[in-house]
Amino acid sequence: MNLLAADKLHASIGNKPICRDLDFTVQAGQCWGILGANGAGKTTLLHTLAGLRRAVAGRINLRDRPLDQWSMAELARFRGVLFQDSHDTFPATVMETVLTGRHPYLHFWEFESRRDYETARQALRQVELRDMESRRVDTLSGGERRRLALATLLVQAPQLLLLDEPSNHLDLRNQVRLLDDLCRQTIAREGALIMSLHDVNLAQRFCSHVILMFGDGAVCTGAITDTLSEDTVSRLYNYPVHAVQDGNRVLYSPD
Amino acid sequence: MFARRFFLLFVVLLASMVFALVTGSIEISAGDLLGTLLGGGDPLQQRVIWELRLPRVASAFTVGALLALAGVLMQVLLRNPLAEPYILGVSGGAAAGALLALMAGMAGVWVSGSSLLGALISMLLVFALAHGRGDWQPLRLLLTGVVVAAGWGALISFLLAISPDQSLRGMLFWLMGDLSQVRFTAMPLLVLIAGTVLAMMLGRQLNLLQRGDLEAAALGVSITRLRIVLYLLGAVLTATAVMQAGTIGFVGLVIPHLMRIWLGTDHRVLLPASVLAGGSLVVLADTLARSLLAPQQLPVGVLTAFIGVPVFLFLMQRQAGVQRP
Repeated sequence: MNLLAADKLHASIGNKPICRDLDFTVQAGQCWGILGANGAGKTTLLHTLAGLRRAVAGRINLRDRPLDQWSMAELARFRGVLFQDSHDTFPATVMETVLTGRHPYLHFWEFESRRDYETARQALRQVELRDMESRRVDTLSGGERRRLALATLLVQAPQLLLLDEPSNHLDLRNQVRLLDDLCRQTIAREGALIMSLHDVNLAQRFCSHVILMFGDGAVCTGAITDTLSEDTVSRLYNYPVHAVQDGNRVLYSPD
Repeated sequence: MFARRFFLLFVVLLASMVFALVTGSIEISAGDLLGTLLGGGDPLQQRVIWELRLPRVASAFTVGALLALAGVLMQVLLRNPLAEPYILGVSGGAAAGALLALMAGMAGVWVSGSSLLGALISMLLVFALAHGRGDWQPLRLLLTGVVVAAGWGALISFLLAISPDQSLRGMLFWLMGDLSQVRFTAMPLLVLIAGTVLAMMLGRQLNLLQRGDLEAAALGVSITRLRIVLYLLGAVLTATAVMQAGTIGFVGLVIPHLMRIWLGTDHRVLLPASVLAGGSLVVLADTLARSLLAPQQLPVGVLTAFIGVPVFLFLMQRQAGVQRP
């Protein structure tokens, strides 16, 4: 099934276009990477796809239904978003934060049930924060917060995941382990992922497809094997790279 | 944990109310109080309790609860720990209205009415200016409110400077918050009940909003709509409180923080706790305000700060020790 389809999508930041005539279709089981240099508009594109920001032109369909026909609550049950950073003005506890993932499923008068707590604990166990339940979030390290945000997404369990630099703040083991888990679980329930990444090699590891953003509005989409090459990656980051064969994977290393 | 702490809040509220009812120029013992409330007692005590002290306690509770509730809402709305009910200028408008009425030699209901009018004008003014081209940035709202409040402040100073000496005392008392003129009516209590229920229904959305606009929107909250509801609700609650008792300071700023330190940031707990604690604080402060230097009455706003400042500083110190070992 088509989970997300963009048709002639045009988005911009102020007057600067970040993508023009972007067409792509995300199907269940796929993992898309958004690659581009700093300021190329990866986050803006992600927010636009999530329905949190209006596109300049073009259409976005979610499950073959136009984005603007979805209610906020419906959207929250269908797609989840991982943001780059969070506010700490009035810090909640770890448990309270994870439970917010259940919000789209509860009526306004309902409290979280015993089962919601169980789901939340399960997610905390998965990201190895189980014994930090009652800690306040402002006492957590950057990596712990990132894992907490991922746990909240696990609890929300949406079909379409939009992740903004999910590997930020995570150590090597957690990058591979958590992203692996997230991809596997999402794909198992017929879902799909779109993630912006800084690291081409992480994209090589996790993504089946990519969107390359060249910063001037030009974009290039397709299966990762057809799209990435020494040439395109060099052009993407405006810095020469060369390909290194690692087993049956190709890695890109800066010259 | 929450059940025990709420029980404690109810005990504090009850104790402050009993204290308020037995304190005053006519001594009434706790036993007599119970008797009087149950319909017995001598006629004098009957009259003192039912016609003087009980209405005043009820008004004090309502005002304190309204302010504390409005304080919580303003702090989430602006996502700013320094926010309080008066920050967006509602109270400034109310004060200007009340002072104009006092200058004109009016009293009682005319002063309240005039202050309500001022509050409504200020509320709509800030709403219209901050709404701008449809986006509701907290920072823009905050700045608009603060600047409008500063404008009211200048007008208030101007009114104080040109008003005759004999009305100055009444005006200053109004500005510091004063319950001695209050007449109990059911309307503020109804506003409080309706406001508390509405705010509680928004509880989970408020929890999300305090984490950030995008985070909340991603989890299904209509941010702009929620902000408008919060703004209007906060302004109505504040206007209702200020109309009755003038600008009692401190309650709306510190009670929410106090309850957050003690109970955490879940609004479904925080809101009712703040209502109880805010009400208790003002009942207690008002009792002291009218008894400490009796027969002279002090403005209640002075006492709320005298009680609240040390309690807050103590709790914050203790919490700092726990959170960062």
